[in-house]
Amino acid sequence: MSTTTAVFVSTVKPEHRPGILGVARSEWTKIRSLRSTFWTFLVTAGLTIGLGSLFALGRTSGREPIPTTFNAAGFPFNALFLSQLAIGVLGVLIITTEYSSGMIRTTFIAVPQRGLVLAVKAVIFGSVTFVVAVLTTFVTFFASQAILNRGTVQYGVSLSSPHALRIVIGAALYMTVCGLLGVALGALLRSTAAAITALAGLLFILPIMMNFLPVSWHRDAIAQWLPSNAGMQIVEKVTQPLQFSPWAGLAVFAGWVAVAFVAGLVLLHRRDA
Amino acid sequence: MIETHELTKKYGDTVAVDHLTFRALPGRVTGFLGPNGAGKSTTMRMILGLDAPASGSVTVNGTPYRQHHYPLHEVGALLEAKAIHPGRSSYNHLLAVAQSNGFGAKRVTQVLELVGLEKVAGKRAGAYSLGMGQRLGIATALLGDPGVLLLDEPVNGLDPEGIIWVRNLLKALAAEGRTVFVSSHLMAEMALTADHLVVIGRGQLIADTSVADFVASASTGRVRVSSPDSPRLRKLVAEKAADVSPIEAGVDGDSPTFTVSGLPRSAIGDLAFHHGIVVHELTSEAASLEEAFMELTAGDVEFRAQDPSQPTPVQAAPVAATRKVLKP
Repeated sequence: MSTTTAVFVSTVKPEHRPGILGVARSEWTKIRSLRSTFWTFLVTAGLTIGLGSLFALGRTSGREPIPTTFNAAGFPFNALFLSQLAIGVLGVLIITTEYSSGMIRTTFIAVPQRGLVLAVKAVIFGSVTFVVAVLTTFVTFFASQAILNRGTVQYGVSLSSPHALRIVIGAALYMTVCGLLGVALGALLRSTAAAITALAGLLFILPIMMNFLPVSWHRDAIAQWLPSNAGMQIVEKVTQPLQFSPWAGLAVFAGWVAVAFVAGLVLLHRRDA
Repeated sequence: MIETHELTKKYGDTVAVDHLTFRALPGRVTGFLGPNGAGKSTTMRMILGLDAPASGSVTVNGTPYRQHHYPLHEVGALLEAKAIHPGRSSYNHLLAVAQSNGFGAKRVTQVLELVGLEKVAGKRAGAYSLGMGQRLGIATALLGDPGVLLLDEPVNGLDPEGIIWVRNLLKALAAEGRTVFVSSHLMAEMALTADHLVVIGRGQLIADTSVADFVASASTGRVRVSSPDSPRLRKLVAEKAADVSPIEAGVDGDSPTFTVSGLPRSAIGDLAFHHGIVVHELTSEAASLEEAFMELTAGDVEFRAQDPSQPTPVQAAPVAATRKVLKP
């Protein structure tokens, strides 16, 4: 080349040092800038509060008597059966839409440390989800207990009654872990359809299938390890035989998610983006 | 500077990039040319650390891409237009990318103005045309004001005004001393934009040459001669030249013409002057750049439609036998 070639000197300097904070700002911008994120959170909250209240209404409007062992605080959270899927799907989409649009390559060009990107994405999404979930479970609790208390016999409990606070916070944690399971499956499978199928399979289909297996196959001992079975122990008042205690159950569920995350991280480094 | 050494990528038994060695130097536009499926995009992804090579190495400014601390400050890349969530505005898209490397909203506004998207910055990217998507991709590449730019087919989907804009932008960026590495399958576009060419076919290097040399190599060495006294001039030329074509009648009152190979233009002109013959035209016949590109990459095209003018299927020419390797 000729000696007159200009030597390029950039005049634009970064405002911050690169690293974990910058990636966190970036992932927060990604989450808050999609209207679909807002709507999915709203649907999740609506499903949980609405179904929880409906279940409370249904339980107290029948003729069959309500036993004294009734888990008034935890019963409305049967609604999580449906809303866990909404929040899990959002977790899936957070990552698979980056793959389907090609955005993931822009992301990894900007931040080549792929594990850092996935970890920060999970932390930011998990934090937002937990905030939304806590608000949701508290509203669900107060709405459903008000409904349970509307008759002559007041079945509802207060937040200060035994286990109630653990159940309400625990339900929010369960929702958060569901969301993170979605993120992990999305990272592992990269395709929206595959990840949502896996999510529904783990949370819905596996527990149902278990019911049709012979009892002699130690069915119940195995079933307690399933993600949703184990995780939902967090809203139980009394621990049943062949079930985990509330926190142990939630830990087992979180363990499933951790395994999926580690597998996703390994593949993220091995595969071409 | 981008430097690859024996860079190789395999997908199963298929070799996508085959021991590719080249350098893209600062201060000039290097065109990365090859037919569809030649391995251009794979090579670009390996440069950016997205795909891992099977063997060989590649560095940007002397360092493997993934080891850079401020990647966007070193290299700006456009791989696909519209590689953006359709529900996100281009402003937020650029902000998210900028923040990951420590840049802020001020820089986002600057690049939006630079590519002319400031008026639609708040609109969902899903509603963008392909051309707007390309502009957004170029804005993303320029965010970190990098010294190296990598652009994969940046003029795809642009209107003529957009194509000229990209052409001038790339030249201006190179004139500032940046390394500009731009892929295309359009030879004519590269001839207008690039200073240097790296041509690949089936993953292998075919040519690494300046555009001027590439154009020169495309010339056939034939000279076209037109004279009112063509028969006499042809007879004189035929005594000295190896190959002279029959005379064709002139069209629309033009003089009859014939072509000569093996004799330079100057010799034919001198000969005509010496014998007092009037000459109306004396031109070197250059093959078009497309023809030169086609000739160079013959047999290296991965997907080929059957030539409709041929009654029977045509076999691709043997690769090794027909390939000319041009070196700088």
